[in-house]
Amino acid sequence: MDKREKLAEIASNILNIKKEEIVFRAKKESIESWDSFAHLALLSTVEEELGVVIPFEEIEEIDSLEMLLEKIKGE
Amino acid sequence: MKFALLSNINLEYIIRKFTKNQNIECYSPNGYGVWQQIIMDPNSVIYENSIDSIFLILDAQELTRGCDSFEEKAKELNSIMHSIVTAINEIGSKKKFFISNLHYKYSEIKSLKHQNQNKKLEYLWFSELEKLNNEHDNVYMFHLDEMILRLGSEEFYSDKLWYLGGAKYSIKAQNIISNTIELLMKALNKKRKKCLVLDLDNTLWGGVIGEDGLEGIELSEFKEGARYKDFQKRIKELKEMGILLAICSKNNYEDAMEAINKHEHMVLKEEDFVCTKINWEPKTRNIKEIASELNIGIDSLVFIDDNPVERDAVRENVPEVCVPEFPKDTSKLEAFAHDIYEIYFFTLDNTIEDKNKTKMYKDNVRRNTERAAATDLESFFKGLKTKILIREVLPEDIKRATELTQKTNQFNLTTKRYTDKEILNLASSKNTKIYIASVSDKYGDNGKVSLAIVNLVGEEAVIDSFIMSCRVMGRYIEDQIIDYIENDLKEHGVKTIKALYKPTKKNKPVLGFYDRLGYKKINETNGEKEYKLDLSKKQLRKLYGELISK
Repeated sequence: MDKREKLAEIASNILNIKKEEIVFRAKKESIESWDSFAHLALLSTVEEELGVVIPFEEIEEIDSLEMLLEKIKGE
Repeated sequence: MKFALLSNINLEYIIRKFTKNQNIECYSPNGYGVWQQIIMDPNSVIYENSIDSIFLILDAQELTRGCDSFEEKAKELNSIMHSIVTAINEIGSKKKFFISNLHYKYSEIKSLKHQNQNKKLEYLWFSELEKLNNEHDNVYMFHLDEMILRLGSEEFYSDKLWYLGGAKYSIKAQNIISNTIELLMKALNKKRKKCLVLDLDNTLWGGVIGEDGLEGIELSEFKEGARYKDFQKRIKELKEMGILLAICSKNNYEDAMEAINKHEHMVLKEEDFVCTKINWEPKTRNIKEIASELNIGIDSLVFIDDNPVERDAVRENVPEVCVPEFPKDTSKLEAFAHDIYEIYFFTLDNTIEDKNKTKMYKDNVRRNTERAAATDLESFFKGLKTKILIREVLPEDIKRATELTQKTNQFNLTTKRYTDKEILNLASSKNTKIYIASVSDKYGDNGKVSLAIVNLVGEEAVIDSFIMSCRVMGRYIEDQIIDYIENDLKEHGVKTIKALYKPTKKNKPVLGFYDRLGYKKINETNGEKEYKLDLSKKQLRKLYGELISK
């Protein structure tokens, strides 16, 4: 499974959104279930399941799945 | 089912996970600093009846935050434990408590010569918890430390989640914790399977006995053969917990028996198996015979076989039987045994009846053989020298009483399932009598096998439940038990008894039970039959055993 698809799966699970309804470009603020705890759970799950590290300093600035995907692409 | 999750750290991930669970509801207070107040406050939600269980997940580091010396920390832990004990006594035995043991993530930075004191603190807590676990039937240890060890503390803890959200454990770790909670909650309400049916070749040992011979099969303490020996060790533990073991193997009987009896590394002995089907007949047929000889439902069997063709044949022909996949990598056999236990046989506690179960079922097979040989049934029954001990339930009977309502399907007139909590409530009610009977005979002790719950309404008694384990069925023991109950009720001023038969898929054997005893049918709807007996017109019962009441 490529990173994009895996990310969609994780997001679907944590944000309670159907996988096919996930919009990567959508901003965090526009998604109701994406609250501060979901943000942490999302990023931690991505770190744990994809074996990537998102530095502490960069966690706050991530505001869409697109941006998250960019961050972990190079890893 | 509803449980309360209390913690001194943020377990929001687990709480959110349970909001998606249809069957198990999770209550958790706002804020994770308040758990101690909550357990001490009789007005808090956790004291309400709707909560079945309380889980206390405690992080060691946070419990002793602010304490500097070992002595201070020990003192703090003692005082916390004291408040937990008070709460347990306050809340009472109706709810289950699962309390975590402690694990300190880091030790202080010290030279090698100076020992890490945190281990002592962990042990201090552990011994207190162990004491609680032994003193209270409803208190269990939640093995947080084992989960940490298994996953590794590097992966279990998440520094990032801690600093950003007060959640100390990684997502993976919180998934492990929530799965364990789910398993425990289900175990409180689930029916266990009863019998594990095992193949022999390439299942209990490596190789084929008929071809490789006694010396050739793989079974040893170390190296390759230990895969199978370790698997057998775990299966033996299952047997000690009351799970019946049976063999179903395509082999020459003599070859297989030689391996079982003569191989020095066989952990499982002939007497550990309640039933052995070693022949060349189709396994489907053997499995059906096992169920009928043991007089247990075919859906209470779990079948283990390395051969996918046999597994599929059983799945196809007897779909009620559980057939787990066999591990492709046989170095995982021991882990497989653990999985089987968790999925099919998991239990919070076992009763004395469990420990002797194999012997009881075997005695029964012997009884049946003798019965087939006896020409005159009456003299056979008398010759069994049956003793029936009956009394109203005492606190030590509660666990078994619940078990009887949960597990008995065939001789069960109304099939009402009760929890420990409910049985306890009924037992302490003035308007309810719960009788429990144990049965022994010349072959051995069957333990507590029958239960009757009777509600009193003035001069009328209503039999809410009448249950008997199928291993003593067909010996008119039920007649003698009901006879005693009728007489006892009569002595307490009861004039008439009402009884009910509620049909289920499984309780056909007792369809005509009350008719046979001379109860009059007064109503029937959708197969549910209501009966009445005027105690002054009671007929004489067949009494073969000796009845002892206390």
